[in-house]
Amino acid sequence: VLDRQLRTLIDDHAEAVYRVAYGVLRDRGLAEDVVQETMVKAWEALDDFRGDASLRTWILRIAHNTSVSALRRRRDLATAPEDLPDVATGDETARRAAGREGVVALGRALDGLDELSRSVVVLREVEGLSYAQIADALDVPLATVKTRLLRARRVLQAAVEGDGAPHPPEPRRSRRPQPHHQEEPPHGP
Amino acid sequence: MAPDPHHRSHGDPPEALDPPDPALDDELRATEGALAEDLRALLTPGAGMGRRTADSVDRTLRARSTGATALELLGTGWRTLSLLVSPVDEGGRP
Repeated sequence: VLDRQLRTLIDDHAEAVYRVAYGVLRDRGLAEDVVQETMVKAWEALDDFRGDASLRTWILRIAHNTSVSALRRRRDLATAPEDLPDVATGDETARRAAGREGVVALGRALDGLDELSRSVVVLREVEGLSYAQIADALDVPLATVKTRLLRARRVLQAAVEGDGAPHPPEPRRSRRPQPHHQEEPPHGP
Repeated sequence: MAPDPHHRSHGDPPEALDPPDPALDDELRATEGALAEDLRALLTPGAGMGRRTADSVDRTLRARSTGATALELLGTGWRTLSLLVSPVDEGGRP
């Protein structure tokens, strides 16, 4: 029988972790793997949680870092285009779930953003974190959060309205590992 | 080396290191929430994700616990065997 506290941790945070993971990875299977990995990491490091951020922010920081690591592993392993995940699969699922063309366009536009911008968008638009909480979770300056968010909103909004998304700042399907703003979470495992 | 103006350590109030940009803030306010509903629809997990996560986490933690116990038993066995086969110090008996 799963420890009650662990069960509560999963019940309270797994969906938010999934949204961050899927936002970064755009692959539902990998996103679920990241949810499981994040929950194990969070559970094992729970004693180290110092409480200087909210538990949700702390867990989402672990989720973001775990997602970025998974993304890098996937890029490193990918040797041929057919090995890369079929982005349309996620879009198709979303279309069935939501029944709106705008959601499909949004998914494609999200694919064109870099992973940091995707996390910023998810943490703000879906999880409702403040700019300061996002800066803390992703370990980036507040100004970076705001500028990335605004740029991402312009791209996504244009896609939803059918104007065609502006050229994304970072091509998603690059084979080379991309430089990133951080290597390891500052407090998380 | 000059300090990085964007470096931020935890505990610093972020606002103190980021100069205000009223135009940016205005545009952020004006576009707030416009995408939330579509994004939520796009990022909704599949049915049963919570249960699958709980099952997987449970299996992972059990496997780790079993592995740690096995290692501990192996270590204890090895130490015991070492004690049994090592030459006994006779303590200077003639």
